[in-house]
Amino acid sequence: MAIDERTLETIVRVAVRVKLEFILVGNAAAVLHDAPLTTDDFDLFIRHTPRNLAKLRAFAEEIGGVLMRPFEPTSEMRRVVAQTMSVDFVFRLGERQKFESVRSRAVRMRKGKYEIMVASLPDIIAAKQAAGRPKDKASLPILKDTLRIKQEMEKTET
Amino acid sequence: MRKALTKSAKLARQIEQWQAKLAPRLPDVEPHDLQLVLWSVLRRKYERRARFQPVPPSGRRYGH
Repeated sequence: MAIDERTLETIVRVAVRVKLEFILVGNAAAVLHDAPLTTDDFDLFIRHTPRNLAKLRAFAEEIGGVLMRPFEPTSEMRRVVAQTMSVDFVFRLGERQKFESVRSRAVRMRKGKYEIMVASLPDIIAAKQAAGRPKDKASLPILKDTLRIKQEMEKTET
Repeated sequence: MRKALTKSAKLARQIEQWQAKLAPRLPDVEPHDLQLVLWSVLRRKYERRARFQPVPPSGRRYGH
């Protein structure tokens, strides 16, 4: 229901400029799939490669931010923190959610000249189930309801 | 202003129609949540360029 789409546009523009391929995951992705949530977080799923780590540094520089490695015992995520945004980059989701497989199910979304890969709602749900943190568990019921509602709408339309 | 009101009225009517169809099939979904999801899905029709919109697969690689 609510994400800052201007910030998302900036993220996409800069990612394209530094040639960083990503898939939007997390609650921001769920919002683009019509989940009635509000979030300031942007979580981007990227491949864990030395080249991508270099691109993250370029990304941080482009938006005038700092690349951090926050203490997250369960993942090797990176965070770019700037005055206007905080963006998390994750290298893994659930156990069976490889980058390529998540990408193959992702939905392309466009706004003007910006195109973005958004993880499918079932993948977002699976990732939250795998993470299992209280905040992830809290959003699961509404994400599952959103999926069921959209599936029912599709059934009705076909 | 009148145009916006007409669009809003049309959207509200559509939400009501969909809610009437789906509520019996999803009895455990909160009516308010159902309405919020319907609002988000259906309003896209009136905001084609304003939001990130799903695009059909084109075979084109991302960012190129």
